Amino acid sequence: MRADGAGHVSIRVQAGPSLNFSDERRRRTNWACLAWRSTAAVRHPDTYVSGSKILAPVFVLILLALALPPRASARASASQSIIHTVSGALAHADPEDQRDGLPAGQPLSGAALDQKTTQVASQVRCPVCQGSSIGDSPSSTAQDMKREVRQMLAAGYTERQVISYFVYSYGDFIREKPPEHGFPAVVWIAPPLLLLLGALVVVFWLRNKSRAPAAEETAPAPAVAADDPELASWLAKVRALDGEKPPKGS
Amino acid sequence: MKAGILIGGLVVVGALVAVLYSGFGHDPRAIKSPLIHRTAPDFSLERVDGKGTLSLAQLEGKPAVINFWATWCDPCKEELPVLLQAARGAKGVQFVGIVYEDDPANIENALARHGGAAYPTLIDKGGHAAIAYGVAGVPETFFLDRTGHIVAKFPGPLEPDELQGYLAEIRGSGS
Repeated sequence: MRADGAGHVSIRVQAGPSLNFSDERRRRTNWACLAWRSTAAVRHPDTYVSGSKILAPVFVLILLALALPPRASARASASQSIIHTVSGALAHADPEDQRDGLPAGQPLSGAALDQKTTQVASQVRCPVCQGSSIGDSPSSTAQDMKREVRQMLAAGYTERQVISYFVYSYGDFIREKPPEHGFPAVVWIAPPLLLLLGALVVVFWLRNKSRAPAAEETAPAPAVAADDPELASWLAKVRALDGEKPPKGS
Repeated sequence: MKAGILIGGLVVVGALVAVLYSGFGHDPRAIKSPLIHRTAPDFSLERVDGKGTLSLAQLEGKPAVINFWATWCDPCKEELPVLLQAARGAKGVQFVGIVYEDDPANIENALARHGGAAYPTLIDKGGHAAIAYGVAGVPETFFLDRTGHIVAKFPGPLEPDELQGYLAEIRGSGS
């Protein structure tokens, strides 16, 4: 989907590979035809040949119309619906994407789809929860978002496109891990820088501390008692007890 | 040296206090929408009244108010009469209600309690539209100008004067 400046919206829809059911359809048609013929032959052996010529094509057509096309069209419809929904936003979300918001990868299914859905859902934050991803949260909003992830992956959108789509709608907040570029990259750069700064402060502090006692040890003892006669007498007694000679003049 | 440590400590503490102070009075869930000034995401949803579907493209050329709500949400029920009354009186603005994770019978009952629908109400099965608009909780209201660009987003229930202010804004922009 594209919107021009005048607000005209155009939609581009790509038919996904889920439309390709020709082999499956052929196989199912053959099974249906065989089942009808065997039943009719047992119940009406005399009229079977002439009746089957008329009714067989009609029966097959009815089976095709009722059983197979709805399943195929439902899958195709789901694929087209999700492409319709997200392509317009994605076309704006990633200007470098040359695919106008259309799927850039291979459609996933089965176990690969389950695994990729879990992986991508773990990278998308639940907007109504506290610190959990949409893969972990049981909230209905998270479940809807996880379903959206699954549908996008099934339609052929890549992991990057899925994340871009959610970021376009919710902002970088929706990422479980902040991006490694722009202002949010501060959260990746700041911790090691602050750690380094802290280590430098500790190193300088330790170096200064180790120098200070050495300087104190080499400096002459201050004549603290020189101006205090009372303290000087006590100091002389202590030094005498310690066997130290009193300084000159005391 | 001691003065340097004191100044450094004051700078760090001052910065932390400034960051914390800026968060006071700010709802952490009120995240600014990245969709502001961008083209509103398209949608095509079924109407609750059974009159087919409605897409954004059908609102082309008119300022629009798109309100995401649900009947199980109490603030939405408070807001509903405000929106219905404004829609009945507003000229040249298209109101649209998009109901999220709800049952059509409950929606009809909620609307009937306030004199019936005054604008199309759509059902968002699977929440595709809500996700496309980055809705994190209901109610949330988006205001679109006549070119289909989102002018503002309001999380939470709107008061009449707030709503009138936004209506004046979208009437005047995009022309």
